[in-house]
Amino acid sequence: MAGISAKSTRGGRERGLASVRVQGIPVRRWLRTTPGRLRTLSIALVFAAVAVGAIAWTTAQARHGATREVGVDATPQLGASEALYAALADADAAASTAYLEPGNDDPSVLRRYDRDISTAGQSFATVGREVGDRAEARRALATISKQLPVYTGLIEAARANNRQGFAVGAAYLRQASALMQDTVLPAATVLYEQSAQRLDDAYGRGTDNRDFVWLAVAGVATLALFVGACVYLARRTRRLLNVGVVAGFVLLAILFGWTVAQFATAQSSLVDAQRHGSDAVQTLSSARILLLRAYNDDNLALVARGNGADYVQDFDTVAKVLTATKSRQPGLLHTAGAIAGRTSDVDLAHRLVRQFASVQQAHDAVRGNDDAGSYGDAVKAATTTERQAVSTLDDTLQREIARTQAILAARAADARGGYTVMLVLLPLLALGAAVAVLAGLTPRIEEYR
Amino acid sequence: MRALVTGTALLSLVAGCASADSQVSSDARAALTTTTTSPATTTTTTPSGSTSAFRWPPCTEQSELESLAPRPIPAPGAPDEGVLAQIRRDGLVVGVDENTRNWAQRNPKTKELEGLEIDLVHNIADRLGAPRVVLHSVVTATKNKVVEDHKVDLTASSDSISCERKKTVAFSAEYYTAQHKLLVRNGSGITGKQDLGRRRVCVTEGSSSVDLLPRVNAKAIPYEVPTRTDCLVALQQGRADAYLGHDTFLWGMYDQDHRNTTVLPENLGDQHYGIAIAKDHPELVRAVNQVLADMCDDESLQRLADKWLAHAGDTRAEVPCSPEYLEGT
Repeated sequence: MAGISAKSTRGGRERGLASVRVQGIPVRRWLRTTPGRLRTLSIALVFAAVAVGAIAWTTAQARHGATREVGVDATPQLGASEALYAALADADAAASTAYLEPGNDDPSVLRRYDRDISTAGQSFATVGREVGDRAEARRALATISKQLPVYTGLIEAARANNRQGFAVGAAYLRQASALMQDTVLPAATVLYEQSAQRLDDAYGRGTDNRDFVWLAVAGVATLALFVGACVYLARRTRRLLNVGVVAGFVLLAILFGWTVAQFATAQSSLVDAQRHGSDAVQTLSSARILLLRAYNDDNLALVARGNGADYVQDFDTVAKVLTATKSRQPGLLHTAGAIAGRTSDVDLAHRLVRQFASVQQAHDAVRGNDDAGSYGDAVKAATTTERQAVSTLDDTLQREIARTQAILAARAADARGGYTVMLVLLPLLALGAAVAVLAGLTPRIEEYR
Repeated sequence: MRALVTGTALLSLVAGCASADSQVSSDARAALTTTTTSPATTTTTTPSGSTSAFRWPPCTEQSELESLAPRPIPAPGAPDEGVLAQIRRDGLVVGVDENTRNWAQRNPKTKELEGLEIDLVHNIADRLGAPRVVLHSVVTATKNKVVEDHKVDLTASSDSISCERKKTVAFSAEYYTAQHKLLVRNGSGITGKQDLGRRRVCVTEGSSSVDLLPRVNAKAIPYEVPTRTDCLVALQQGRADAYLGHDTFLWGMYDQDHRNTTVLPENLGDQHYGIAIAKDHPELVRAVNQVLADMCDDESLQRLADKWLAHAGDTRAEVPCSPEYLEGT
């Protein structure tokens, strides 16, 4: 076995080697002598030890990078871009609620709007720092930073006119909301999608099986080579074991076993982070974003008097995605609840669906009143029962998002653990194995002098 | 060694099972791009069959403003009651605009609709014997469509009578004569229609002003918006320099920004407001015309104009009360 691998290292270079002589013997003949074979074997073992160490180190390095990307960069960015989107959508819903409230200046609603705008500003800064230099994301950032001040200006114009009893305030509000819905939120969606994509890519790299297979093949081949070398040496040198080669084998076995174990635990942490963390965070976030959009649709249908059919239609579309009553597939709320429920309450999915049912019921009351011409009752239903139902569901979603975000962060931290020490020790182990091989074989070779 | 190989294979297998699956994440993202398809229009009520055979005479320039002659309002249960029976049972369903100060506007404080047209339709409902009024908000582009589709019994929404619109709906006699005028931003330098060349002029989508603008000044650049108040916003934001529309709502806009805007006195054309009613309900047209004639006789129509228009800077708030009726009706 060792003879075969020694031959293969010669490859096609025989012609060049023909004139070389070692210890006074032409190299081709020398290679067939025992010292020649032992020398070749020692080179092969050293090369294999260094190679498997290098492969283990680079794959570990790549995986460490991926787990860092998941935990340190992508996860906070996902959280910030979700917070950005939700704050913007909620600000718009708060602005339209404030307009619908009689008197237009319920302090709690105004405070909610102010808080949303400031949260949006903070999250925007975080997302901006992490977004990198992808053109699409940069464009989305530029759109938000340009249009958000325009939006808040329009909202202030609407508020100022409303306070004076001027109906033109509603026109400003509609313009502001159109800007938010058609320009700012789509840009925030781009940022959110990019963050989610980035996280997925990092998961992919952190759990990629190709480099794992490479490592496994290289590791198994190297260990086999060492075992073969031991057998060959036992026959040639009449000693039971060559201590150096055995030590090299043990060191490489430790290196290989450690790497595999580390990859396996890190990988299972990453998969946990995804299954119990980010999958839940993402489905819950999407559900929350759609819920806020649906509530805003209802408000705007009441604000946009006579021109609100599109908003009512949009509510129905969004509600269908959230609940999917007509098709057999479960709606987004049920999916999100089922995923998040894995780590908490098994009943979560049903609770979310139930809570949306009361939103739907309140929505039906609002539409029923409005269609019957009782605008006052419609507004009352929208600003009391519907608002209550929406905020109950929104609170549940927010709580679950925070909880699953914590799981994501913890599992991502687990996945990162252990790599730092390993990256330092892997080269030492490989070098140690190489040194042990040389130390074990060189005296045997010299015995033939 | 065999154990080693088996162990490695097993590990790879475990790792393979545990690899990342991004399906959930991409599904969640896909949900966010949910879009709405344009709403389908459906008809809610069916026309009553008995009177649909009525044939309207062709509309000409001379007969443009002519409506059906009034007839005494049929008593409940009378054979010629027609759609009035439904109105007396379910209430009068009316389409109104709610962006027009003094005519029909949602009061931003009380959230109630108020204005001349709101009072007018309540008067009509009372005199027709309707138990209540159901108000539906419409915008310029939809106000005649909802009548045609029988979603409402009538609309009172600053609707100019024209042969073009008479193709789809019928009109009552005229209840107010508005004038096309210009609302300009102070400092825009516009003093009359001759100054509109290469200036952006705001008009409401689907309104008579869209067709009028090129005739007022062929070089004016139209700037179309969906609702009337959007034109005031455009003026305030400098996206338009003038607003071409009926003086009836221009005065309401002027009210909301009287320091920065001016209504130019030049009359660019009369507009005759009628109440739009479905063509297959001539009995309702006659009944509404009877109500309008009665309101002219007892001067209640003029009192509405005094109440809502006199203070708004509009000093010519006089109702016409000279109805024209189709011959032989």
